Amino acid sequence: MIEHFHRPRTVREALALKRRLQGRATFLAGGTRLNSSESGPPPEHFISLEGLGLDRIETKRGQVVIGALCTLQAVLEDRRVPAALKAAVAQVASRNVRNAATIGGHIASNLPWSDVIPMLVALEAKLGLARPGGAATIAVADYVARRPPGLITRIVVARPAAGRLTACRNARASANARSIVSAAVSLALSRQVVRQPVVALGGVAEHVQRLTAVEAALEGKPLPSSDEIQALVGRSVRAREALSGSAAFRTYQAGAVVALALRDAARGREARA
Amino acid sequence: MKIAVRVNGVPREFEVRPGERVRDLLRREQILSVRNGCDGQGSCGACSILLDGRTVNSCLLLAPQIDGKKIHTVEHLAPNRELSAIQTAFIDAGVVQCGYCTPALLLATEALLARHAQPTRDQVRDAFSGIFCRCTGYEQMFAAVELAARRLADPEHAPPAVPEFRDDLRLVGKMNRKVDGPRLVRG
Repeated sequence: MIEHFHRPRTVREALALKRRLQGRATFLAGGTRLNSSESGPPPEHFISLEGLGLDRIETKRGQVVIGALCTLQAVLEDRRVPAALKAAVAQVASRNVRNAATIGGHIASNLPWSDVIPMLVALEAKLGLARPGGAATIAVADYVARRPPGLITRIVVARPAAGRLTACRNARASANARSIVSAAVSLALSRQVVRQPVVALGGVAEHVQRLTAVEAALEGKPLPSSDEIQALVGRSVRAREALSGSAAFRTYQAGAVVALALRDAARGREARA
Repeated sequence: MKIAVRVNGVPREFEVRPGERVRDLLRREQILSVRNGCDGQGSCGACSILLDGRTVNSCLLLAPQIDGKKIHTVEHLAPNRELSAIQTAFIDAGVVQCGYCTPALLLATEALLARHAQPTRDQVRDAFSGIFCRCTGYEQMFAAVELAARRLADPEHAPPAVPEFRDDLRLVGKMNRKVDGPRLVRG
């Protein structure tokens, strides 16, 4: 039962409130996840982040710095945001949700089926994390795996290097359903040989993960056929049974979306839903 | 706790509980056009409102989150009982069936046409992407938005003529607006 709604004006105030209230309080950004009836019981205190001024997008030294409180729609509409990230955000199907959900809140929710986190991982994006002891920077992939305490203040995305190819794909049961699996890839092609691939997948584990075994198998070789990629992914993931499908079905879908995303990237086709 | 909100252009103050959903607040205030279609999951969009001009699900917002902001519900489209161009376009295009999600679709159309005077089909699809309509035809929604766009530019713009038949009957085979259409588009 929510009994208190706090409106700190600075990050320092927000952190102090959280430190004082500990597990009885939760940071609130857009609220599309925390306020949903699908979420568990609400906390006693909400600490609203709206007044912290974290809703700007800037460019600094070739990097795009996105304030954690920017809505997904604001990210989608900003011309400075890399097209690859916009394509991933566009996969969040409901415009109503994109108008309210924030990118920081989306990452903090750490949903296994996220359509945005795989691309942030593929782009090797970093998070600015405010903590009582001081600020820290952490890779998105590490954040979702380890969930360190702290408040996400910004997302830093380097502009993709020249020749870097990215794409994302997902599989879902209906247009507005959550993804069953969602993949994002990034790679370079040098004389048709794959270099430095990054393959990120959501929907098969507790959080989005990099498929490092798949990346190692792709490195330094021509892109394998879709069937070979599918088999490779099938050997690398251990999908769990879920309402959205059996382990075998989800493993099959994982292989399919990774293969499609790699094919799109290799063809230079920007990510699509 | 007390919040101050501009509702349909009118400054209002409400006493709310910190965990009260905006949908529940509005329905408590007899704004019944804001519907409950998914018990607060946020998947149907029937509770859509415009928050500072953007469509959002009011079931996913807590009342303190709208403090100091402007919200609009479908009631603002016909303040003097006279239907707006968007509302008449929806009736004429046959998009109003049960009317449950119609207020949400109307608000999404209003926001869309404020962004794009002549939206593409992809833009229409995106504008309605958060709203689950269970009964109305889907193609007609594109026709309704196109008609609304034309009618906003020219209030006299008539819907496309269709052939009528059975001269011996008054209603069957005639171009008539759905009898309860005006009531349903008012929410």
